Amino acid sequence: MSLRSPLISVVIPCYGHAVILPKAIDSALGQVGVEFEVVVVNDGSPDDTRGVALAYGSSITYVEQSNAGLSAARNLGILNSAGAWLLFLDADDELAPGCLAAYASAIEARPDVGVLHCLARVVNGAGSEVETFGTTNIGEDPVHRLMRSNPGPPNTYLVRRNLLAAAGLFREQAPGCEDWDMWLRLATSGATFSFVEGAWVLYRDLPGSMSKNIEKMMRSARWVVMNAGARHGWCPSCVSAKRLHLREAAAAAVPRIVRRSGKISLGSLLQLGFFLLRNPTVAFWYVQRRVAHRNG
Amino acid sequence: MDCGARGRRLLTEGGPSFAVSVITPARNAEVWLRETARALAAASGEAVDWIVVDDASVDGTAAVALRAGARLLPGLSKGPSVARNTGILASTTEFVLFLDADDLYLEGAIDTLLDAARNSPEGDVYYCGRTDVDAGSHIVGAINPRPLGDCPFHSLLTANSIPTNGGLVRRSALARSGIFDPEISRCEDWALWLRLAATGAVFVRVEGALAVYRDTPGSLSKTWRPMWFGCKSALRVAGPPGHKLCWRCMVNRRKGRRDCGKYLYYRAIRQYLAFPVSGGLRAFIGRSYEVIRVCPPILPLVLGDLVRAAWRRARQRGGVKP
Repeated sequence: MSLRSPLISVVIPCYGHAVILPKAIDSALGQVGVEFEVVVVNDGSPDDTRGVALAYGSSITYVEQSNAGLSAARNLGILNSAGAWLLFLDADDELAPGCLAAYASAIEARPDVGVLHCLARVVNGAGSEVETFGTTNIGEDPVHRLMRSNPGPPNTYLVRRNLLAAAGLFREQAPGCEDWDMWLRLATSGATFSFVEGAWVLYRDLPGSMSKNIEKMMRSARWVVMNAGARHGWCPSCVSAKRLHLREAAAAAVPRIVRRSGKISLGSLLQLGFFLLRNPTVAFWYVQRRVAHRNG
Repeated sequence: MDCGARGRRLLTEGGPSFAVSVITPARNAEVWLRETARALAAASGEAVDWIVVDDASVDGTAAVALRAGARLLPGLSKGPSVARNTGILASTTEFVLFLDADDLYLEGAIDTLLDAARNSPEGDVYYCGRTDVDAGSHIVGAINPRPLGDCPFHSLLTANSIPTNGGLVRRSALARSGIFDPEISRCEDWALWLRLAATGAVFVRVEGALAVYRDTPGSLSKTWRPMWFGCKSALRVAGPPGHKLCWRCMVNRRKGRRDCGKYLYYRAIRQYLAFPVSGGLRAFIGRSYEVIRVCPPILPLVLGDLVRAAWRRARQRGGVKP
């Protein structure tokens, strides 16, 4: 494997996932038929990430920093990689065999494209498949499709490196949604998206991961969508995409809060009340969604 | 576990190793590049990785850069911020410097900055002062670097005291702060210094006005408007954690806006208003209303000029005795 000019750089940030990290690294190193490099970024992890990564020797690039968050870790990976294309693999996720080869042939077929994406199979902690993400093709009108919802986890996207110059690096301001913010910034800066058939990745839905905090995620998602709309000048499609997003987000958040402990109780209804007091617009969008559903 | 404040590359292989990349965005800069290349060669004893990002030039920029031994990259033709970002993403060194195509360095400047970096390895940004030269490369002034005190974010808010080409930046510090904001096309360096300060980068002052800035006032006169908007968006950069309601941040932001307004007024807007009044008072009032609406901090300056002009005119008529 050459470090001089690989086609694809797989960037793996790791914080507190030293136990599961070898699975991610092995799934990346097991790829064939393409020039690539693996960059592991230790984000000041309290466990033995350093030892696990250094055991791979010169087959990977290892960098470390004191804990600064997921965005900064991915950015450090970008700055220490050399590939013309970048793939951001989280330490608890995996690449399917042949994934990078499918990407490489897609790059050959469409050398002008900016971002490639594929589908993700979601597995739970026990390893059984629960659902599939990212089946929608966002190639046409990527800005508004992405504004509606984030179609897949970060490891489903492959980004051309030089487009980051016009989009910037990952930003810390949207905790939990910084990957979505990045795809939207790429889309608003004019990048073209294309779906790749035949490639897929594995996404682990672990309990206690950051995406579990409903309110925090909802707020940062709204921040991301509002920012994208402002960059795109709030065209009519932006407004309707934002409306769809807020409706869907409200429809997803309300039942999750009510049934947080498994069943409806006085406590959960009180929690819902406080939630609606903190986020009053959610009630409006929830009613909107119910009305839209009743009208078909 | 030994975890430094910054990222470190523990395993690397291959390629010539440079200590610093000098990133030059160039659009139709054939006229300047030869002199820039000469200054760069004199500024550094060891070889530097000179990256010229050719941002859709139509003249011989590419040929001149290649002849001078630069690494030439195609830009996305979206302005200097994006061109510099292209250079950052293509560089592999520990440090980067941002040298504009028409700017220069004093002899040995990069060596001095690198020596400072070696002597105090805890720093992230090593900054020096600025020497101003005119279009013919004659020195017209020099400013020593301002000490940034214990809170660099606060002192950087009051004025952009680090020249674009006078800040040696550790690349790994950019992972936290981000690269140049592609949406700002003026004062983007100010925004970057502020973001670096806000994310906890350590600034180290290097004595001497080593960075040479070519001062061509004509170029500013047409572009004071985007410059003002750039200044405003640069000052909007969020402070370090815990500085959301900091009164010193607010005061210093105002100070920075006022300073930038003042600079723009005396360098560009005053000529635009055509002082002393020509074309009648009506034209003057119309123009100044238009300008003040865009850039409110210049209101006292315009009023002061107006009063002074009236005083002078009254004295000329002999109505008021001095």
